[in-house]
Amino acid sequence: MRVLVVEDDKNLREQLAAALGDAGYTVDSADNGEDGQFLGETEPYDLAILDLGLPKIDGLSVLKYWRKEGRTMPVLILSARDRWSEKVEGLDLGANDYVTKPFHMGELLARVRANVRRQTDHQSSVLEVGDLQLNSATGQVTVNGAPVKLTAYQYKVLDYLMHHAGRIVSRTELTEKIYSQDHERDSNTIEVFIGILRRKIGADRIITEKGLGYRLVDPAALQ
Amino acid sequence: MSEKGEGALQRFRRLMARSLAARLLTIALVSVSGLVAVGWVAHAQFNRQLLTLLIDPEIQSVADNLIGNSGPGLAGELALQDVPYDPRYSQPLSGRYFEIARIHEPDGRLDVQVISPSLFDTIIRLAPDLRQRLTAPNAPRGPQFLDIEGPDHAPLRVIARVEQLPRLQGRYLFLVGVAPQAIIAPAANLVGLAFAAFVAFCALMVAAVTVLQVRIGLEPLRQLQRDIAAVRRGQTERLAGEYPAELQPLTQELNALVDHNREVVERARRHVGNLAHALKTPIAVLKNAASGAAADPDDNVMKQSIEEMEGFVERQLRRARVAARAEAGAGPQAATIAYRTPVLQNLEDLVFMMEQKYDHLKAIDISIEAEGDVTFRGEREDLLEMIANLLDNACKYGKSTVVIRLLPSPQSNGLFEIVVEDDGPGLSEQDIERAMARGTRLDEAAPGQGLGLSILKETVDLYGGKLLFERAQLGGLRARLLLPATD
Repeated sequence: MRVLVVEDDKNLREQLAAALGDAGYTVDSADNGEDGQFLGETEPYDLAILDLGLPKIDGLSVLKYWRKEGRTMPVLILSARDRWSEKVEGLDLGANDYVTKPFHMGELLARVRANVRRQTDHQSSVLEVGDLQLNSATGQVTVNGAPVKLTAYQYKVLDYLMHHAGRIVSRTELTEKIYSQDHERDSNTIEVFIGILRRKIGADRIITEKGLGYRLVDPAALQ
Repeated sequence: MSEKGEGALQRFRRLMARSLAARLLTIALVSVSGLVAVGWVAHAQFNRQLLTLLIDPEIQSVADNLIGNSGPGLAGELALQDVPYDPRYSQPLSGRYFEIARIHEPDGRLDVQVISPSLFDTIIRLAPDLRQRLTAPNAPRGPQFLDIEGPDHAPLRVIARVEQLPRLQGRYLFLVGVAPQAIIAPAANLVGLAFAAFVAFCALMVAAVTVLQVRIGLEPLRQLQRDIAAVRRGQTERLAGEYPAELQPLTQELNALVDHNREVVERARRHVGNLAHALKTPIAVLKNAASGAAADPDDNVMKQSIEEMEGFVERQLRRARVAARAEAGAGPQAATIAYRTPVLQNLEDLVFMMEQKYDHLKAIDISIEAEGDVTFRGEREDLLEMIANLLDNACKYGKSTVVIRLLPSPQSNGLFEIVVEDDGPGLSEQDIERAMARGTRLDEAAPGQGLGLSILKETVDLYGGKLLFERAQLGGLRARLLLPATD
């Protein structure tokens, strides 16, 4: 797992590199936007942590450039700017997550982990169930061609259900798969995720099998 | 100038300064008065010409008649032989006269021989130089038409002819005159009436033209006023209409003012953002360093201090952000000027932000129930901050469900409503009261919680909105945010 850290504060950069290194990632770092942009463009990273207030080229411009050049690795914005309008702007430009400073290293690592796995579980495969499509190379989910925005965990639940489309997946199974490396989870959080996914991709795509679990289907094929 | 006169002048000046209509009326009055005066002069000139045309043939013919009927009398003097002339030449001071005089040689003195009975006890007197000119031996021959002063000092149009008559010694001067007054007298009333009518007509025209000018000429100003009102109400963001060239500079300035206002606020905010960056990055470093160290007692002290610092910086930055607008000179009114923000799309963006934020913390289902979209009369920045604040709290305290309801149709007070509900523990009546009371003074707010609420309240107040808390159907807290919609 290669992670790029673009952060101009030397201490914070070193802390991030150390924490990520301890967590088993290979870390490259840059202390300005220009170097960061170049590394992100040329090296294959599994994730980039991007500060916004950078010398030479600001973070949002770097992000915009990467996305324009077709770089699809997850980007986690790390910024002291905590205006919601700025966060929304970051996400609009294609960031996958936004963490405001100061932050807890544990929280940051959890979010890095969640975002990295989204990309690497199933390299470059496109899953299709009816007109529901999941592209694991880009992390894009579409329904009938229209993009659906999912968070890392929502994505993971859908990804698992799609891999086992048509078969019943129990809650325990889902909980184990989704949260294997994270802290203990209440199994009814899965219920919440299913509720969110139903709203985002269409309620009739996920069938509840009473007492057993969930089944992802193509509603068009059922008729 | 008298004091009273000065006062009147001052009042007039004030009226001029206050009313464009008064200015236009004054200009119209002055110019039309000038026109009337010129018209009067032209009219008088025309009358004179007309009278001359009427009078000259008459006096010429009378003079011809007199000359033709002049001959030697019994004593060799000049006598008129039975002339059947116009009876008006017999009525005393009728305005029609004649006079025949012998010219003394060589001094040119006049020896009056015959006068018309209308001259009564006077004669037609010529000014000495005029007499000289007429009677000089080398005077041009033929009839001379003159305007002189006749009996009663009234103007008199006169023909003068110097003739040598057969069988009579010397030269004779024949004068026949008609006073224009005698011709126009019967029509004088009519003329006065016509002129009065003309003046009245002019006055009416001035009034009508002024009304038209104010109506049509000043219409763009009223349009501008309506457009500015639309900007204030948030219906449009700038003045974009077509205006006359004379108003273009004004509208450009107004647009520039709106832009400048926004720019100043934005610059102040960016400054706060930079400050936040400069302060928060080192705090992040400290925080990480503290948690990385082994858990000894000193470490706890350090962590605590860092948290205090963090809270302080957070508070001051939020404070500064709110103050940024005030510093920019934008009062409560300015908050709503020229901004329009569609609500639904921003709600959707925020919901996804919240999903991201809580993704690794807990599974929380945030749904939007919207009956339609509405446009908020204010800045996107503020809308996002206000709703994010409520949403963040709801996600923090909610168990698994948060519902946002958008009631887009404005109520009678022009406010639309956003409701945020959660299924958390909610607040007791006292807590709700306290939450609402807080925010009157920021400093009283405990670090972290409550602070967001006070900033939120300030922003809501800025827009003349309302914020209410109740118990939610889901069991937790229901926040009702009422904000102005564009109309």
